Amino acid sequence: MFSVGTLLIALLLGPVSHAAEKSKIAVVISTLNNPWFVVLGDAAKARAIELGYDATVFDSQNDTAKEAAHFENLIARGYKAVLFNPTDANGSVANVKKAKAAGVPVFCIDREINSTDAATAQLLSDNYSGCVALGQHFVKVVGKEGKYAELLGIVGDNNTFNRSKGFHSVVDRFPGLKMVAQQSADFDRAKGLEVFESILQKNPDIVAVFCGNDAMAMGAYQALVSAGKTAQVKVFGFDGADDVVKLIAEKKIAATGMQFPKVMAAKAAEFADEYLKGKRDFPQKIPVKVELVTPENVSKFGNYGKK
Amino acid sequence: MQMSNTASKQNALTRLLKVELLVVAVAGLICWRFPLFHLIPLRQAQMEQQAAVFDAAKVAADWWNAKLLPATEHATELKGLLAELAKNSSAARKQHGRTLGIGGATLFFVRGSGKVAALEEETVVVSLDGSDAKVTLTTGLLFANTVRDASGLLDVSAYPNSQDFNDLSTQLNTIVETKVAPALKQAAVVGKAIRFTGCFELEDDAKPDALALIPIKVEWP
Repeated sequence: MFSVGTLLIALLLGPVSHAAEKSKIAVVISTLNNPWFVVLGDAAKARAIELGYDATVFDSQNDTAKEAAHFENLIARGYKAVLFNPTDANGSVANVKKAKAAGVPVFCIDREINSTDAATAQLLSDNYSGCVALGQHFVKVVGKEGKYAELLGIVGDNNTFNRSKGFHSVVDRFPGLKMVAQQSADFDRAKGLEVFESILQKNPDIVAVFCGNDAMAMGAYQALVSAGKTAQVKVFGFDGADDVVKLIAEKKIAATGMQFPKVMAAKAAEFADEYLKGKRDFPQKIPVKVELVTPENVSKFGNYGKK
Repeated sequence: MQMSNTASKQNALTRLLKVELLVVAVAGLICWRFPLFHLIPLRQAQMEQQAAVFDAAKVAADWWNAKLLPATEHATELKGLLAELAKNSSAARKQHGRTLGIGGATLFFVRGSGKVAALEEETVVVSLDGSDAKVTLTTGLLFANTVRDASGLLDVSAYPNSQDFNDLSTQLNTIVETKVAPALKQAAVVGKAIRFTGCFELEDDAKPDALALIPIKVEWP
């Protein structure tokens, strides 16, 4: 009698307690100090929640060691999948392999790791093509003669050189366009301002600046405003951040490349869901097209995507 | 005379200490001879890790000769493709075109024949056999990844570092610019019969009239 009662209670409570436990998905983002990455992280989290999971965003603060600590933490706490924006193409590989060994699939978003057998899939903007298009627009708008500067992103991120090389694959074909300065500002707005101010002082006659991301482009633009040189120097960025898109609409910034963080993040969450439901055959790398945004077509874009 | 207890204890301790010191010394000697780990500067470590340097020019040339040129015989026939694109663009794109990843334009790898209709600064204009259609073969500067991606013979997932995959694209474009285009420009004469294989990119909403093809192989029958 007593045991039947207990059994009945157990049967009734069992499904209830299971239903209350949602699987957890971790969203590990390189830094939340950049609005573009905040959008990436929030979009990944929101889609994961929509699909029925609990999701938490972890901030690696651009520090591979902090990122490693997050991974140890989330593996220990039973997270079932990771939507991952790495801090370093080489340095982050070990973290992904740790998760893989623990049976936790990792889906890279926006940034890749230099390994094709660690992450389950990698959703990456085609930065090279995006900057080829940007470079062609640069030549159209700046002309075939002139001095310009380049602000590079974080050197441990393959995106930095994919963008730079894509840009140079076009612009270097025009010998009249001379790069007088090239320096990293770590994808950071404040650093972009500082680095570009000093470049501007040393090279007062430049006519353009190509920035590897929109945060640095905003820093460079700020420097131009302070120096009263916004009419002289054209600014080119990359990302499709809201503040830059607004300035493009006002014809104050020349162009940017719209990456689609919401598309990549949502797709990554969907992949994680498919994996947890049994799917295993994912393409390792999925390039996502970047679209050129200029004053001519800016009305189509906004809110980190296409309207 | 017997030693006191303390003295003998001290002796034992000294002996023990000597043995311990000996063990440490031997262990140290072994570790010095066969180190447990090496300390090398970080930059050197990173460089050694990528010591298998990707020679994009060589990989591009090898792939061009071994894989791309032989594939030209199986490229989509252009005249037929144009007819299909006119009839049902999305079906033709799906069947004959290729897209890399999400959102990319559709790329086509095609072959055709015709006559040289005009010679322009950066193109050779060709009128297709048995058709009103004209296409151009680009002889100027090449950008982007059409040559790399149109045939579908290269797998983006096979390249751990996307920089390598992109360097490959630059090198393939260079092959067209330095080998295919100059030969084409030199031999092209208005009215001459021409057979070609090439590739092109078609954006989502673009109509395929006056297609600009990148030439990959050109023959003069």
